[in-house]
Amino acid sequence: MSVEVARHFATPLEERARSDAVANAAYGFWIYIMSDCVLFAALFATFIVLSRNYAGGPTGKNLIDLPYTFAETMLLLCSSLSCGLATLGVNRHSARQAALWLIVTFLLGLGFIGMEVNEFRHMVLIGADPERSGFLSGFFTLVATHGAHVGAGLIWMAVMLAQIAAKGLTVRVRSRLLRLGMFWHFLDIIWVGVFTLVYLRGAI
Amino acid sequence: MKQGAPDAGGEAGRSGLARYLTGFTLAVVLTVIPFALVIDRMLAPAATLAAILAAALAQILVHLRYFLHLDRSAAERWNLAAVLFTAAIVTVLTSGAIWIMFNLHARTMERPATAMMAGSPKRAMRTTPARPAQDAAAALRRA
Amino acid sequence: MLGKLTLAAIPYHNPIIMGAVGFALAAAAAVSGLITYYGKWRYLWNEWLTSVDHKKIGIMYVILALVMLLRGFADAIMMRSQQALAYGSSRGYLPPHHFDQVFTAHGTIMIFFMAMPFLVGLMNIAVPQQIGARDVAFPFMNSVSLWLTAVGAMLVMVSLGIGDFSRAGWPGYPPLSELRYSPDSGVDYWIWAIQLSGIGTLMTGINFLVTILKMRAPGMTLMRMPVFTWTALCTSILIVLAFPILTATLALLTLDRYLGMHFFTAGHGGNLMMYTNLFWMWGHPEVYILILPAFGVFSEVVATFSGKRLFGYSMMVYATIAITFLSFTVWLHHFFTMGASANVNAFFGITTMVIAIPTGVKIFNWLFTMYRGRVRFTTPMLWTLGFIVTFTIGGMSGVLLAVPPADFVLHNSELVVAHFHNVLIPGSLFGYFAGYAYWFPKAFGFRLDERWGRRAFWAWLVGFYVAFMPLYILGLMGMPRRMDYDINPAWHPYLEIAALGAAIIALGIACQIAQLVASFRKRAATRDLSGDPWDGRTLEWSLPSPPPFYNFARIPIVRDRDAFADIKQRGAAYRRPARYHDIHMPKNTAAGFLIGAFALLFGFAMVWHIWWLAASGAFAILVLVVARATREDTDYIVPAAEIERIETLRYRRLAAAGIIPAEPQGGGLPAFEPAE
Repeated sequence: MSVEVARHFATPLEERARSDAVANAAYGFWIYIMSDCVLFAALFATFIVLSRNYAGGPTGKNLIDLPYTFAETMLLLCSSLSCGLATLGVNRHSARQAALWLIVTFLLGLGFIGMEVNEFRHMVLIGADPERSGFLSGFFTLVATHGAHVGAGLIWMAVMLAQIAAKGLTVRVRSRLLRLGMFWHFLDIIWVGVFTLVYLRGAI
Repeated sequence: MKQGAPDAGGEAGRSGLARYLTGFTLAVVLTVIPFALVIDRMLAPAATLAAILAAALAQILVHLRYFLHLDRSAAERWNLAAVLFTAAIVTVLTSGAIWIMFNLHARTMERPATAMMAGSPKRAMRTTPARPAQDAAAALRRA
Repeated sequence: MLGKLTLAAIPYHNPIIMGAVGFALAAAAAVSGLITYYGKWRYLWNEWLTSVDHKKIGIMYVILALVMLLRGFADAIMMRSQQALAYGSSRGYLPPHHFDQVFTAHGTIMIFFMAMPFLVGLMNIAVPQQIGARDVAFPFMNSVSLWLTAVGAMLVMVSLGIGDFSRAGWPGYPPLSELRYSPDSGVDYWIWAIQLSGIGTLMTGINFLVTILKMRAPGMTLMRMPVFTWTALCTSILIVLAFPILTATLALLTLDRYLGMHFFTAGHGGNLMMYTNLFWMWGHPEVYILILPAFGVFSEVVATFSGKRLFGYSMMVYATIAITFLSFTVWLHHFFTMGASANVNAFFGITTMVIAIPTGVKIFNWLFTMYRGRVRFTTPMLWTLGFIVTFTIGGMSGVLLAVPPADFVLHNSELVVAHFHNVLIPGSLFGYFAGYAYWFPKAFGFRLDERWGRRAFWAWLVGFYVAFMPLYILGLMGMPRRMDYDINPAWHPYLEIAALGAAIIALGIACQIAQLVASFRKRAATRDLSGDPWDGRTLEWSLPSPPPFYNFARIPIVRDRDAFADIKQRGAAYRRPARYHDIHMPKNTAAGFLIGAFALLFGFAMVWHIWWLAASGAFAILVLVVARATREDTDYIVPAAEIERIETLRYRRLAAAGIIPAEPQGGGLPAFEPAE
């Protein structure tokens, strides 16, 4: 009987490749983002269906200020760029570059939120609050859900800045920062949908 | 995301920056164009809508490629698969929902004028069914 | 201080409810008493409640499912008896206010807190072992998923004794579910129970998707995976893409109820029909989530107990993928009568009929697998045979309902009720029961009693026919769903038969309880010594029963489909590795359980508008999540020496049982592993 040469068990290297925690975390997060896309799709669909249900109240044309929205959009887009620069810092293992650009991203994101909160405040003051009509319910919910995601991203950034300061760019910290980057870019993609379908379409 | 080489120091680092800047520039252009089209009303409404939707789709693709590094490489294969499948399902669901709801809307014979009355479907049935043509004309005149 | 909550929320005056509450509390007290008596609190905490081991989490999911099966079945008995009594001028014993809660709870519990935990539990137990992995991709998240699901079930149970449950049906259509027509706590309990458990389910979907795609043993390509793993993968895809729709839809209803918005209100620009549309966009994929794992179980069981490869593996895989995609294209068939045009209805009617085709393919493949096989009529196989015959009838009634003009007559009649029970019970539930019997030895190390298993099967099968075939007739006779009283006396005989059927099913459940007791009693005699009680074909049967916490000491290299059958056929089973290596395992943690506990507080507080408590609960969860993310010491290394010790014990037991030749002097089997 000849000796069987076929291997029956994986080597430790093969095992590690199979359960690479960083790659799995990244892919798992990607899948979560896909599920979030579906959530936003439901909100978009609802908004579109309700988009002419003014119930005698304010319409899109009454409320939309395109230059204002453009400014918000630019803030978010620039924050995507600064986030990319932070990612480059992470890949170069430069805690300083990563943290610096993360702070810039945070500030730009905060500016975006500030502008959005201001917009909402103004709308509520003139009586265009979410309880006024189906259209406004849809508007506020879609835009504010995006805003809430951005807010969550800002909290996450703050936590990551603390982690970078405390531990430096360890494997886990880098892994989380890359996922934060994915999240932030995904939010900008959703915003493209929002400014197109809510603001631009509403103003045509 | 897997960005360039394991140690993205020199060469890959610079190409990484170039990628982000290219993506950023494209995104800005694809933002300015639709805003300009709507603000300046250069095109008819239907054409404007088509243009801004196209620009949005293009910008989303730019973000996916330049910021999220999605391409057809082996490393990105599963990510791409996830995006494509999700996009397919989202398309089916949203277009289906819109088709269904607008179909239902058309068939509930809502009058634009009476639709603005809060919670009074009975007003929409004010006219008798025997004069549908006249009502449709009246509705068109009112709209 | 306590929001809307007052002592008046407790239904003192209702003897049935107080009886149910008393029973539940007594049962909880009895269990706690037993645990205290045997001094097992510490063990329970350390080994189970804080566990991140997929095998234990899976067992806990199944326990939750079985307990909630009893609660959901109690609702069923109540409905059947009420309808059998309330004909002519009799009002029965359940007033509408109560009856409506019963049918709402029945549907909600059976779908969200019986079927979902059951299938997730089976996936948890089997999938990592089937793919040659040591755990799922995200063990901590797995623990959180379990506890969030349990919390949802707890909220439904709490609603028995504090306040009311929803009366708006398990889909919760507005305007009935809106604040105006359901001002009490009921719909809120329903919303938060589903939302919290829904987050857990979504996390499970992500977890298994990554696990299956990224953690398979070397050599296990996608087309070499066991069919149950394929169906688990497709189920996970369905979960990831469908559950967010439910989350969004219920969130919009919540905004209507809590903040006065107008998504689905009757007025101010709300659109009621959009809820129905959105709900079923989730709802239809959901029923495929419920059935696919059962199909996976049947595939494993048929192949194993026919002693043959599954017939048409590739076709099965493609059929499953087709079902996954198509399940997103049929949802309107749940509301053909809502008023869409003939074109819209026709489109969805056609897609609904198309989706029956891949399922039909699967049935044929199972039949062809049995053909010319040596069929062993074990309990799992009996459940499978009962499924094949009975589910086919239910499927056909579905195709009937898929024809819009037919549905116009039958929508909301008892025929629909008959149809979906005819696919869910023989389809999903029998599948889960088969999986339960099939994998029980793997989970616990001894087999379930076959005699009681057979009795349970026959009682369920006969009981099912007796309970549900009359409902087809009643539907054709014009009886609507969810009737509390004023029942046409002509329908009465059929309702009596249906009630008898429910009683027979109750006997089946009693047999299953008896089976557990009997099996536990004689477990020494039915111990699974080899880990392979059925002559199985997939990798989980190559492990001991129960497996060590790390599953595989060395990850196997897979060379073919039916990996273990292939290994056995090559004479390489129970091969001992030349060397063991350190293994990296996740630590147990209380964080999952604690997140669940605070989620329960949060959910309860939201129901009763106790805002300070809700905010505190949410904040506590945030703190726990951030704290968990900050920890570095979440894993530990099991040294190779320890692995070797455990494995040596295992090989000694295998030798003592005569499964492998007894060891010569000191060494083990000749190891053909090349030195590394």
